Amino acid sequence: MFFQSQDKLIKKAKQGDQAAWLKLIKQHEQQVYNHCLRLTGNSHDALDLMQEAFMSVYRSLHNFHGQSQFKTWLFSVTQARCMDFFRKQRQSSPLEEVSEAAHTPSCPIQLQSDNQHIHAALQALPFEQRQIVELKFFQHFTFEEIAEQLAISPNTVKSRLYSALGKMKAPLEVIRVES
Amino acid sequence: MSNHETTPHELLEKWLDGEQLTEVQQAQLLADPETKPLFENAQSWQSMVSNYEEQEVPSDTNIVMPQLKQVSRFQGHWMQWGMAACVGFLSLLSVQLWQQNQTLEQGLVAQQTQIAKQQDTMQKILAQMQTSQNLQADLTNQVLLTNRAERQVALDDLLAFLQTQRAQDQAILRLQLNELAEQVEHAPLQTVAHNGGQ
Repeated sequence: MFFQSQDKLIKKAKQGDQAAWLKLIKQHEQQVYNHCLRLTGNSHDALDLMQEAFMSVYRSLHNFHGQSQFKTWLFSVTQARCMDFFRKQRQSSPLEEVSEAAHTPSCPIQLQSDNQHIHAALQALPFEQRQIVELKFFQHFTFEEIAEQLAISPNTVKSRLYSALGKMKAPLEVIRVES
Repeated sequence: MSNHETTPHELLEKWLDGEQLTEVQQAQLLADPETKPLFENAQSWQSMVSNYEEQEVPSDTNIVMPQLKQVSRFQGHWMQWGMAACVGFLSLLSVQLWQQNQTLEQGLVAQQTQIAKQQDTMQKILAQMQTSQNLQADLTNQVLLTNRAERQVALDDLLAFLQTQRAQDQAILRLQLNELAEQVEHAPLQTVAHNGGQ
């Protein structure tokens, strides 16, 4: 059998099997990378965040006992790293600079038109709302799962999402007009 | 019945959580002024997201992965080294424990011998004490008996002395009485009568 179930890979990775660990990373790295890319808006930060997230996952892999899906747990760890990243960014530079930087990525990504629109619309949102939109529309997590990952109540998740949807009305109309 | 009771917000939440809505339910959502823009925007987002092309992870991720490999290799080796170190440590520990055990055993034997000696000495001392106690008791009895005898002799002497004194006193009194009797017998009668007339 060449195919190994995720549970087996996790078990082997816990025992120090590096091949299993790398397979596990390969299974999720694109999802995590794109998630970080949409949140940060540039590939350098996304790669750094992905690395930090996987390092954190590796360090705390022994704490994962299958109480939730591995993807949910992986994304909760990634969320924690993303929040640290944005907290540090806010501390190191004033809020206005941060929002401007978010609009103009330091390393522009070669994106297709739709991707560009999506990135632009996402970067226009505050980080907390961007996070919820990302987890809801791209990762398809339920409200409960998002609340669990971010350690907030499901009602907070809903209110943040509705607020984000309200704010995205204008950018979406621009996209409609352009297309 | 329950569908009629569901509010537009609850319908929107269900739809956002992946549930399929009927046409009636969708119409209900669109009829509500609050949920209509949210639903439309969410639908727009969903259609945009379906066209989104996921980016490949850049090839320079190799810079990232070797670090992870190193970590995992280190982790694997760490486990082996850890196990070997544990086995070595346990062997050393068992040898040391055996040695300690031997020393303790010897110490215990020496202590037991010493205790036995001490017990012998104690028993001898106890026997000596018992003997001296008996002697002391005998001596005390002897002293008491002697004292009692001496007291008896002294009392006897005293009684004898008193009886002698009493006998001598009686003899003197008898003599004096005899002398008085003689004086009375030889004295003149006038004197006797005169004395009797007064």
